Amino acid sequence: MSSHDSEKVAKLHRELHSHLPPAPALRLKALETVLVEKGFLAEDAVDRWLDDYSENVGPMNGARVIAKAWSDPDFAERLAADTPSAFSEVIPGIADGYAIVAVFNTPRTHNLIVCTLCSCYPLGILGMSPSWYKSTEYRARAVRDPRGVLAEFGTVLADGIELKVWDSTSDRRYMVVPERPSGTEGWSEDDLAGLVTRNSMIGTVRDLSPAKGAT
Amino acid sequence: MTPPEIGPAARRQRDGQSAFAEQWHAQVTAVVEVLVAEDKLDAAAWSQALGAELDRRSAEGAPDTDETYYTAFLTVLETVLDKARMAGAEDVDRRESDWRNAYLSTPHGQPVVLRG
Repeated sequence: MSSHDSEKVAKLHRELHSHLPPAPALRLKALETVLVEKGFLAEDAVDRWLDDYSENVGPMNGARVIAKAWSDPDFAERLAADTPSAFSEVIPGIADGYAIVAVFNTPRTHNLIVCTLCSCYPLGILGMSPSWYKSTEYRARAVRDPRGVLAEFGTVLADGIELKVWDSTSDRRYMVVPERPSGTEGWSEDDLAGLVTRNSMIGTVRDLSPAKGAT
Repeated sequence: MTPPEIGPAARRQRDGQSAFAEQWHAQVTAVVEVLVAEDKLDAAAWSQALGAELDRRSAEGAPDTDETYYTAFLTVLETVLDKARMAGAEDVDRRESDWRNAYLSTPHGQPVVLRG
């Protein structure tokens, strides 16, 4: 058999049998197997985490909390003073033991979140960060040229607005509380939550006016 | 102004990007999150190690993509767990080979099971 035929047979063999996962997925499967065999990981721990993540974790958690803060000034004060407890008022247990800090935009202040070291983000509450948040370019430029980065997201800050850049770490993760947009008087918390985007909680988007749509 | 109609699915996926491009990206994230939550992995040390590996790859000119990020993530996890004697590289090599053989010897549509 020529080597060409051997390759064809091998290819056919692969197609007839279960699809081999991509190399890193196979490697990870092996790593998980060893961790389970050595007792460092429960057999269903990863599946349980993923189930919980897909059911209960995501930007909607932050959106609900922000909508409540917009609707209830006393709650907003509690959110500023003790962010994990305030989260747990709205979503029981979600932020227990989680070092999350809410920073508030005001007419004169804008906040932007980055992790200059790696990619720290309140993943367990707000879900996975977007790809660009993890990129080397964002991690470097959010500190060096934050106004330039914001402009690329369509957020042009007026000169008088102070810009604060917060560096998330493994033991302190930030969330921006955007300002309540005008034109939303009388809206329910549910409807207000529908305006809050993931990017606004990172601070790359400032204006959540309904007319602008969810960007 | 009337509130717009935004369904729960749209709210979860807003900002136009799904959370994980590949299933294994989610799984490797889950492994780290579980190990950190159970105090089997130190969060600060993990961040330091991941940051150093990302910087190294960036300096070598690796593309600034999810693939680079998660490949680095998995490499660092392997290194950290090997050093901590939680999952030695030889054991992982052996199990990787076992899984590959299991996939290749299981007819399509049948569950893939690891023996031994």
